[in-house]
Amino acid sequence: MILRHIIREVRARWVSVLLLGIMIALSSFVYTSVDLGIGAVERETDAYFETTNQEDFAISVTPLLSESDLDHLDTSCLYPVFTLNGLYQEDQSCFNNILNGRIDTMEDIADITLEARLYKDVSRSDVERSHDIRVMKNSETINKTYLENGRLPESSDEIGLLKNYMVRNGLSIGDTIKISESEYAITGEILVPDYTLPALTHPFLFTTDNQSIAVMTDDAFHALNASVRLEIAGVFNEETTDLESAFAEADHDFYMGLTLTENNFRSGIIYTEIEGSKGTALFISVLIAFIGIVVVGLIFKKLIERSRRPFGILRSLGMTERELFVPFLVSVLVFSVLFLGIGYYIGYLSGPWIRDFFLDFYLLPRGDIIVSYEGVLIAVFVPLFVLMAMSAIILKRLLSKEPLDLIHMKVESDGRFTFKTVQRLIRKLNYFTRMQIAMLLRNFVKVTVFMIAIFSALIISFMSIGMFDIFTGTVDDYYESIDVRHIGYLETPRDIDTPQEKVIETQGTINGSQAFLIGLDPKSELHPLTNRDGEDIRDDLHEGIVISRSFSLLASIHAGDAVTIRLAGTSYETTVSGVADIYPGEHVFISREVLAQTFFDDSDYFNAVYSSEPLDEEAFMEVFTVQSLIDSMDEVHDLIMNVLYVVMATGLVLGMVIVYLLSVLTVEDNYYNIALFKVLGYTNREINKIVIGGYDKLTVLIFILSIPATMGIYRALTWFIATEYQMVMPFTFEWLNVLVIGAMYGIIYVLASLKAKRKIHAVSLQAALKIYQH
Amino acid sequence: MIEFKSVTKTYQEGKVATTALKSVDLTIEANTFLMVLGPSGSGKSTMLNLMGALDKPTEGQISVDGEPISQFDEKQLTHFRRRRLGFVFQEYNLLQSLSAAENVEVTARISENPLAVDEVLEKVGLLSHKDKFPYELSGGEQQRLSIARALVKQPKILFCDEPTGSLDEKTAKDVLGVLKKLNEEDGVTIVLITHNQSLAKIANRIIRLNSGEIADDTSNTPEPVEAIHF
Repeated sequence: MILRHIIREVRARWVSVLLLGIMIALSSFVYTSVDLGIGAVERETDAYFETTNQEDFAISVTPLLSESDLDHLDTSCLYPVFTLNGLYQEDQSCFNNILNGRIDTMEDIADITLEARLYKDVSRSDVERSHDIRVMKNSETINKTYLENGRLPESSDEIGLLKNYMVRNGLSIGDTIKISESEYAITGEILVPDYTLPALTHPFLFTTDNQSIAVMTDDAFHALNASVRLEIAGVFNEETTDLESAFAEADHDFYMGLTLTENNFRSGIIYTEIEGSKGTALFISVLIAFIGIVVVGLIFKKLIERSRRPFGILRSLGMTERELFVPFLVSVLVFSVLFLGIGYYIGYLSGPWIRDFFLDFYLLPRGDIIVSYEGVLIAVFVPLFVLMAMSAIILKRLLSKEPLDLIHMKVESDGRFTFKTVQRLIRKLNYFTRMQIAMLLRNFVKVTVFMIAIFSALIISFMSIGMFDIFTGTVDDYYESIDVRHIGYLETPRDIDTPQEKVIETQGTINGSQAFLIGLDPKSELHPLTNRDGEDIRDDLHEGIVISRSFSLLASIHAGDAVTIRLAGTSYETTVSGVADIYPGEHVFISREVLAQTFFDDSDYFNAVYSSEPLDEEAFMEVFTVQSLIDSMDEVHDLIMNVLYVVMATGLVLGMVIVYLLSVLTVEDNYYNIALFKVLGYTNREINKIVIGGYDKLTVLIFILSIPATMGIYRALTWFIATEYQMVMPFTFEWLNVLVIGAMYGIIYVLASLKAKRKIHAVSLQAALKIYQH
Repeated sequence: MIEFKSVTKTYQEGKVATTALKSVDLTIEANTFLMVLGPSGSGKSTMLNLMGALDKPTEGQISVDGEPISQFDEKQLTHFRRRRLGFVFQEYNLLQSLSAAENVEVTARISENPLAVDEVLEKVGLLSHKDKFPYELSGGEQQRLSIARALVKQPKILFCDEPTGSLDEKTAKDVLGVLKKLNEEDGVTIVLITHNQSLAKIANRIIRLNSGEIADDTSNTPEPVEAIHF
């Protein structure tokens, strides 16, 4: 009989009950899917890094020949070249001597082992669009190649590629691809541990649609017609030490910087990603669970309150507390297990999807989904326990009352303790505002939940909409601001007969921070430089250097600062004459003539050309086309957008569910007050103003508060990513976003208010005459 | 003056129709202290709902001071209650999150010519409790506060639904004393419904309802409140 009563109550409020169920399921789902999906990635990753001996740090060294390199240069190696690559192209043994000399020098600094990590960037010539392939020379001790399927290349016409790239391009083991004029047969699917993210040409460009890591035999690698580039991979032999300080103190002229793997975007972001994703998932599920449980508690309390009178009658007829307690608790158990189970099951089904989604970006082995007892405990049993305990307490408190107390209905408010304090503070406010505050205080717990839930939903929405253009924004904005469409790289300067702009692009350090130095003519027509106010600051190159806003943030260097540029052992002191409003990375602009004269002893030196027209690829060592980068970024953008839409929708659904449930609850809580107001002669409009008006103002207040909160989170995130990964993510707060989010939540709120108002209008006047409002 | 002409009220619940009032004719003059008596289900509450513009009759006409309230729409009824009527309930129906003065202000705010809140609280003997919250007041004090809330708008008619139903004898007499004083000194028409026969002595007119019909309608020489015994 009690069960029948419960079923009728549930039927009467099926929408609310269903929404509650969805919230409970959601908390279990979010945790389970991420726990299983990320867990599968995490388990394999640890073993993978162990087997392949992932580097602990990477050292950047200058690509130019430095003074100290001369100690390792045999007289037979005196070629007219400035760069390591130039020497590599002339004589590999001379190149190796210098490299080994540098490694030996650095290994003396601390108890570390180093190995040069050579690579060449090439393009496939058998596809229409540019496909970038970074061919890694096989390592012997650090960052060893990992084979997922097939075998490693054994002859010069074989190649191993990333599985992700092969899948996305319909390639299989046994197929061939063409690089320049040579064909290579694919022998296996490979991974390398220093690239867990395929960020080859740009940190934000991490799809494998048109870029891949590859390995070949050493002979094939050397035969590739492309510049050799390198970093020095290193591992700590015993204990980790403060290498950065040690290297800075040693001050070798070829040393440019050191990045610990955990701070290295291409290899270390996976660590933060795994921890961050698990933390975020736990936070979101706890948040949803908390809101859900409190809302469940509130609604369940209402449900029990409605059963109060029947309880009283049944108790007075001789039914025991236990006979009433058990069916209610069993109902809660069934309800909770059902929805937590549904949430867990959907989470279980989504686990592989989450794992595969991760592995679409990250270059890691694919692990199996393994259900753990801990996961089930956290996703199902913990919320179940909390729900059951909360329900048992509510029931116990109610049933412990005397039958007559149960029969005489009371609807208690939860804000008594605050009435007196607040009354003094709001005495001077106008009548309706005081009434609205009094109504809000009546339901203090509910209002608090409402505030937290709406605030969280708003932050989720703001964060997702704020990231819509973040990836393309950094690149697209920069390349749209300049007229450079093609960049041709040369190993040695020589005459060129096209009206292209001569530039120097090279790596250096400024006040110890790594920088991408661009020697630019102050009269450059293709590459304007503008400050935040949109003013042309190319002339500032006559006074000193112009740094990008991202470099300014990363290195904490500002306009007017005196700086020291170091390049291959030579130093040059100058000042920062301007900050260009661009975010492409560590870009620093300097007059080409000054750069050429100071570091290359030749004021006409250049190593690249900028062009608005297509370049003859045969005439250059390498040609970079801006459009291909923009196209690739657009693909990343589309992928990210899909994720952001899901996050955005989650925020909106959360907001909708909360607003709907709480608007329904608000009217129910104030049912007898509303009836009383009606009897006293208040119009519906006045009653709406009193009962709903407080929520209107509160919602607007929360919305306004969420704006500075979002700005604060943006700043914190920018700071965190810049500090940890030496990368600037320019989260920009757009007022248009405020309008969009405001409009969306406005619509949700207005719809919920309309529902609440309809309910208010339906309240019977006679209710006030019948029921005691305690 | 309240006038009922052949007023019938039928409630329809599903297929079952219940007639709560059957063709009632009744005139209540101004300044009357009317006591409506009757057992449960006799139609007392229905009569109060109809007089108090809380409900509309199924048949017949009701007018109050010449205004045909049975023909009013919901908006007009609201406006009418707002201007003219006061209500006192058995269970006080006070807003727990408002102080005593603010509970009175709830009515004062929507009245055309309200009395000062302090003046009304003094009239019911609660001025010293004006900043207290309902849960800090005794039952009798709460009922006096609910009377103050009704009085602040200077209503012509005060409807009281079992106002002493939840009070002990002494407290009930205090409350009845306040009502009697309002009737005699301020000329407020009081309509009080109760099933407690002993209260009838203080009214100047007594109506007994039974099965939706007026079984008895008598004039009475009112006795002082102290004379009644519960």
